[in-house]
Amino acid sequence: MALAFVRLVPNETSIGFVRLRKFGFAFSVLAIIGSIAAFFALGINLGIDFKGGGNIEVRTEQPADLTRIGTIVRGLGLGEVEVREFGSPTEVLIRFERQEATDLSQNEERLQQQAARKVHVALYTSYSGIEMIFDGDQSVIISAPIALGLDKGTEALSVFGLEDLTLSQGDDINALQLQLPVVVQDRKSGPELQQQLYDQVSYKLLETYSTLSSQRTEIVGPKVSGELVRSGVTAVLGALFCMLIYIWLRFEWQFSVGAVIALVHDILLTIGMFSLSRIEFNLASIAAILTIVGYSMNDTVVVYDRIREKMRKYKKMPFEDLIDLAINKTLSRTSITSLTTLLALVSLYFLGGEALRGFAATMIWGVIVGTYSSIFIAAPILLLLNVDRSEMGDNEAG
Amino acid sequence: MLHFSKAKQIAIWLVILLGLLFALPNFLTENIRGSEDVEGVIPVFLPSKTVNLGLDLQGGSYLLFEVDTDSVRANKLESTQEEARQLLRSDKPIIPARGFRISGNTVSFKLSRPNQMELALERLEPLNDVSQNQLLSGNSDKPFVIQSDAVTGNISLTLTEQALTKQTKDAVARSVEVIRNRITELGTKDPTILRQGDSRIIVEVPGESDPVRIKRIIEKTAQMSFHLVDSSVSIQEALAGRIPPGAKLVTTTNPAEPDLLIRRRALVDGADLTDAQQSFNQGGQPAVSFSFNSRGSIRFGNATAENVNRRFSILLDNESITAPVIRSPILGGSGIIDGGFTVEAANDLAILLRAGALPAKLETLNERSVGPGLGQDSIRAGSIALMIGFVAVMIYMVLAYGLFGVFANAALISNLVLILGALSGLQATLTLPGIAGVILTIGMAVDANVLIFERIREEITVGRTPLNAVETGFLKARSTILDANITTLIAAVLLLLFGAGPVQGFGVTLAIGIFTSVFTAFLFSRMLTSYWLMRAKPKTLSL
Repeated sequence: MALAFVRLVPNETSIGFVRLRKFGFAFSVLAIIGSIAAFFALGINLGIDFKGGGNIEVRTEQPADLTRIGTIVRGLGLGEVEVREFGSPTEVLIRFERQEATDLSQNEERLQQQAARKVHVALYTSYSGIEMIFDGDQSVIISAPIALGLDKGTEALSVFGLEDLTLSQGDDINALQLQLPVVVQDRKSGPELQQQLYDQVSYKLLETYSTLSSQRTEIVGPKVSGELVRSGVTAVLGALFCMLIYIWLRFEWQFSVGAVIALVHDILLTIGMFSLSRIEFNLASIAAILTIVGYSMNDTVVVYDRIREKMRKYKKMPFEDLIDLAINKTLSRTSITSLTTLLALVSLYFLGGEALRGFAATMIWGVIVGTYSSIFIAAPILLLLNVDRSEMGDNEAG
Repeated sequence: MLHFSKAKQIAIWLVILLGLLFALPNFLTENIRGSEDVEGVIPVFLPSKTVNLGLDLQGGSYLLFEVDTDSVRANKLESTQEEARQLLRSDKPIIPARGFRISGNTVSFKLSRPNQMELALERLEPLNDVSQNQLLSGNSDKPFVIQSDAVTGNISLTLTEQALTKQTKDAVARSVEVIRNRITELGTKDPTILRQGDSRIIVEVPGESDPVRIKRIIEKTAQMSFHLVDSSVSIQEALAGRIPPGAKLVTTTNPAEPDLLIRRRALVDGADLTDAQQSFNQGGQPAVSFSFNSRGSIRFGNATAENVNRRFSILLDNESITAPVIRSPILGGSGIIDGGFTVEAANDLAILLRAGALPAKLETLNERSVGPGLGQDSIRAGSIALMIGFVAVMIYMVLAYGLFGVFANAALISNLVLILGALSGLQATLTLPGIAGVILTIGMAVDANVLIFERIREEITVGRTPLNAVETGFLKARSTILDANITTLIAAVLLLLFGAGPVQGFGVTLAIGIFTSVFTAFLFSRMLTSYWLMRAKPKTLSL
């Protein structure tokens, strides 16, 4: 085979990474300071998973009018609301923040659900053009600028389990009439219960006739969001701790300290990225950070393995040269694996759909940072940690 | 490293074959592969399960409920108060007591004659019936701390924290059962109802993207009981505040008689109910017919026999829905509830009664629902991203390593098959982040092969023979591969332990991917390499 293989780096390199460590350290320290500064100055764009609130994804038949949707939703008094296109011109994501209780009688968990409901009702009302008049008891008049199909409404109500409501053609051609039964089976009775039934029925009808449909709804109450923050932090710290222990068992303590410093470096820089890019920080972001930790560790271990091997082989070689040798020997592998991982991630970023784009972007950043830190932080930092070279040969047999 | 015994070769091929078999149903239609409903064409001993899609991919609703501890406490204390009252009057001489009060975790009251204290405490013993308590909770702690003062006649019963926790746990366990029954009545397929922690319940209903409908049926607390109507004072007097002990005022659904005074003690309660159906009364109006178990039949029979010509009330969630006069003893253990219902209301009530009562209020903490269309879009986008990423990585591997790249690609393909097979076989749930996990795994899976090939290159440079170089390459890369993958596995396991919802699905695919990629890169592609070496016996290696 006379094929010339594609090489990212030449077979034999002898780059003086260790000599460059001062620049690497300086760069990293600056980047970390920048990240921390950005975090405190700008914060991060916390998603509803960690802050509470709701995400509502809707789809419209025509390309969505973001201004119209924004005006409708902002008019509901739900505090800060984000409205943006999500993946395609007909998909819109609406995010409202956690609704805070203004007095003790309010249940915050329920407030989030009510807010989501308000958004849905307002959008359905606008996108169906329907007006409903409820007499407070049994009769509802439904009118719209265009004729409403009677069958469509009847079917929707029956699917919902409300089949014995009577929906009929109204006086006007564009109007429908609805007769509610008197409901008796609840501790509440009378007007309150009729109102509740009306709310359910009208919601269903508005939804049915609306040209805008809800694709996804996520509501996170304050209790769950608090717990998700705690479990996310626990997972990341737990991972760091387990890595520390594992590397300590497999290598020397200096290696495990070096590796964990590199990981903390990666995590801080990733947080800085979140802060500057305004990518939403959600549950998937925790998954991304943990994967970055795993990936970066993977890279570091490969370099460390080689350092250990060379330490056994060349007991007299200056430690700087030895580290350089190990990095250069693994450089080709490091770059190829980074490239294939990036290939998969770039594909995910562009083709995997809007919901995974933030995750893919985070991972792309993480692979770059993780690769950099293995070479410029994890390996050279061993020089500062007084690795005991005399014991190295006897520690590991494999 | 290059020698594979026959047994080893067979084992490796067998794993690949099993992966294929388990992955295969995903590419067959239901009619061919067979399922619970359909008899398939392929033999039954072959796997027929497809990948279990998460709610975010197939559409559906996820709801997280929490049992309201306060309502559990209130229920328990209220029933304790009633039980204490009953116990004091259960035998002669009747021990009069007054000032019944519930505050915090305590029920307190005062004996009219403090000298009856000893007898009173004896009568109250069943409340702390240890043997019964032991059976339920496995510990011998008494549920109540009883404090008494023989001088003033004050008695207080304090529910311990342990007993309250146990009550909550019981309430959660019962709620899970009730919800399961009710969701089953809804007729949706494969719902999941799981208990989480001490006081939470997860409900997942695939295919139902309207959580309102689910909540509508779940959140109703249908607590039904039968009570005698108290006619010792007029309703006006009762409304004015003169309520006889042991009685209480309830609202009714009957506009002609909006309030009713009933005895607190239930003749029979919903727990003894065995069936309820929507039916019609003699006048042709929708009604609900019900029947009791033997205990309920006997109790209801006795109670109605003793109280002919008095009225009793059927209480549903503390509201009287009907209060007929007992014309004759009802001995057959069945009856009819006639509350002026619509057919729909009668039907819903029958479902609620059949499913049993929710023992406590539920609060929704978290709600996620996805429409079916969105899930399809996600799967399509994910598959395209996977395919393109897959092809890009394969092309690159061939460009970088030539023939060895082909071996790596064979490992990569078998890796994908094994992941799919493992997901189907283990019936692990594939979520949207899970798809991201698979794509990421594809990118990272070649790492093991890259490590090996780079090693082989180094060994060739040192001047080893092809066979020797390959052998040494595999050997030297082994511990590095293990170390590198264990670190990623640690991250995946922590995701599995602490991740919530869809993100756990990412941990699942990541973990599965680590095992399959080590297997395929280290065993399968090594075996392929050794086949080639044995057959071609190359003089030089181009790598």
